[in-house]
Amino acid sequence: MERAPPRFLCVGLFPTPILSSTHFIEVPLWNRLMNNTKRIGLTLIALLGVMLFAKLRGAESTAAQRLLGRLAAAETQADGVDRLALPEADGQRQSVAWDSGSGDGSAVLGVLPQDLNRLLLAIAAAEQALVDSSDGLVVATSPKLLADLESAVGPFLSYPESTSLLLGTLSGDREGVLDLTSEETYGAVRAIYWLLVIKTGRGEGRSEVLEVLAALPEIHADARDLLVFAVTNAAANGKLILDTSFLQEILFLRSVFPEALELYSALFGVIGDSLSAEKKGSFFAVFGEETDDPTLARLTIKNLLLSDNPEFGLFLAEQRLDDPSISQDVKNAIAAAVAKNADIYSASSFLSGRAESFKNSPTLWMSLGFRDDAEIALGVEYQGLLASGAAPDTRRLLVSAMSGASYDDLQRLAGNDDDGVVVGQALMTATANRDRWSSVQVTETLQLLEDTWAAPSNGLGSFGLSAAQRLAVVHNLAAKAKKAGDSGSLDRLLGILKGVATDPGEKGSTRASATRTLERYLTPYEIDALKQG
Amino acid sequence: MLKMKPVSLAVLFLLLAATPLRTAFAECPNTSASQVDVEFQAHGELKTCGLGFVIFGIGGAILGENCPEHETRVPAHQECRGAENAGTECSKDTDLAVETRECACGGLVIPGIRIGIPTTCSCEGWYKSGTVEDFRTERCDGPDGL
Repeated sequence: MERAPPRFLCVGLFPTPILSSTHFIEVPLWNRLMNNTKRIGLTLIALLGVMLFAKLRGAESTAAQRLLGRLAAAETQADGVDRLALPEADGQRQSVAWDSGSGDGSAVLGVLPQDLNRLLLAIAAAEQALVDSSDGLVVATSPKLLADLESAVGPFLSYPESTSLLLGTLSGDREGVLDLTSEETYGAVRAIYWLLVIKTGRGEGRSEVLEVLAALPEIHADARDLLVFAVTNAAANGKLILDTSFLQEILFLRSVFPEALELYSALFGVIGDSLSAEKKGSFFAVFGEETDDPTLARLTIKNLLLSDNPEFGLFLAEQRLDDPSISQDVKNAIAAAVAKNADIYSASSFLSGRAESFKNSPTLWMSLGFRDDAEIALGVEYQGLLASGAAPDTRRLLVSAMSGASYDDLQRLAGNDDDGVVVGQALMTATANRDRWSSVQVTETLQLLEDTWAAPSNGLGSFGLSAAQRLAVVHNLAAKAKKAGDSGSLDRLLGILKGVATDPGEKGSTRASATRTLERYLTPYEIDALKQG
Repeated sequence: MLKMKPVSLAVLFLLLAATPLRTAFAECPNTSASQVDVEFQAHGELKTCGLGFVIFGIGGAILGENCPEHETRVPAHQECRGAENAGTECSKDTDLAVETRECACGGLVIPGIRIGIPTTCSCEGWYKSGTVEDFRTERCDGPDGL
């Protein structure tokens, strides 16, 4: 076999073992050698390679454009059907026509672009009708409405270059304008979704998936998130379409499109979830040295922690957090991965040991706290600090994460800790859970608040309980009282809030916070009267 | 007794007088607070609400939005992140409440992205579950300041 010329090197290297780059040099020879089915598949794969090649060499690559033109001409000549295979590189739609050569009985639709828009709107309308008719169920069963959707999707199934056409439509024009209404955009994304799902379900579809993945950086920003969401959630036969078989291609695309680094890194999140513990470790260990991409850093640590060697993941996380050259964004992402995925005792110890670095990252602590049985591990760390009387701020953070602890345990903790900010946090955590309510809780909690609360001008209680914490507890109790229909408790709590809102000794921000809570329960007239009083 | 020339005394006097000023300039950190935007964070199991059905013999779904089991909202605030600004310092202001709520898929869901179809990831009301420190930028005042 003769050596491939360098301009086709990209196509030749693309992981499609049945191809040789020399097949695409001589179009007439290729036409004679390949049958229709293979040619269509190879056309799509070649298109993918050429698109990547054009991206590497710039949009003005004349070699790529010549090849695109020759491929399009070959398709036009095939089967006597006048069909122009490809949209232009600038995303402008071209006239296309198709017939139901697949034999599924779809009607001939005429000439685009008018029919393309109509079909896109038909898909959006059909799906909306299905949702409107489902009446709260999670499964749609109306035969007529399902048939309407099939009628709208069917033409795309029978036209071999549908994916290319739709991706070109979603790319926008030369000026960066997406010339579609929001319904048409939704319809186009959903058409791609159905193409991927149905073709994959039929045992085909790999080339379409590759084409979509390669086109993602070119998709208009107004459509990209929707398309990525559709692709990453697309499943056929109970299995996600985007699986480990696309790992190498995504790695390749990530290297080819560095401006879309985070876009492709995010796809690892979907694929990583389907890897075995052993494969998680071997695959993601490769990215251990990547320290610039917060998304990839988070996914790497997450999957290493879930692999068959989680100790390495924890070690790497600790090493990265101690590295002063790594950005805070990456460090926050790594800490988030540890909080959510390390075993709860390791995660609690990890955060507790670095509390000073993450003391103003409440979501980090709460993400650990929402895990099963986390309150046990957090309690171990907390008790260790309480015994030595150390680090009240760290104790506060640990308590803020104890969303799974019982109301009684948190009340007991509040009664035993001698630091006001820890007491305040314990009461906030205890009252923030929607399942815990009794009028007795109101009395006990308010008693505890009043026992520890004094209001000097700086807004801190006698033991450091802050005004924000006090108001937060009253806010939570008021919400629960209203939900439970306990008007007696609600009136008592609103009285406390009114007192704070009208106390000239309170800071302005504290009075404003109390007023905002009162606005949920009082009429505008009552609020005005309160402000004037 | 060591006699110092008047010039030397004057220089010594100036050096001593300037010391408090040098100390003052060192004490004003010349920093300012940096804005941090509001943050929403999902916790727990993340579900994709949706409507499932079969077309062309293959099962698929109309995909709704992602619906977290718990969601946290950290209000916009300012933090000390080392931003430089002559004559000011980043100082503690007050604590702001962090809020949490619970959510669940509520039946009819469609991505509500500019297409007018309602999205129903149903969430409960916000409860105040923690605090975040807010900071502000202040001029360096006081006897040692500018």
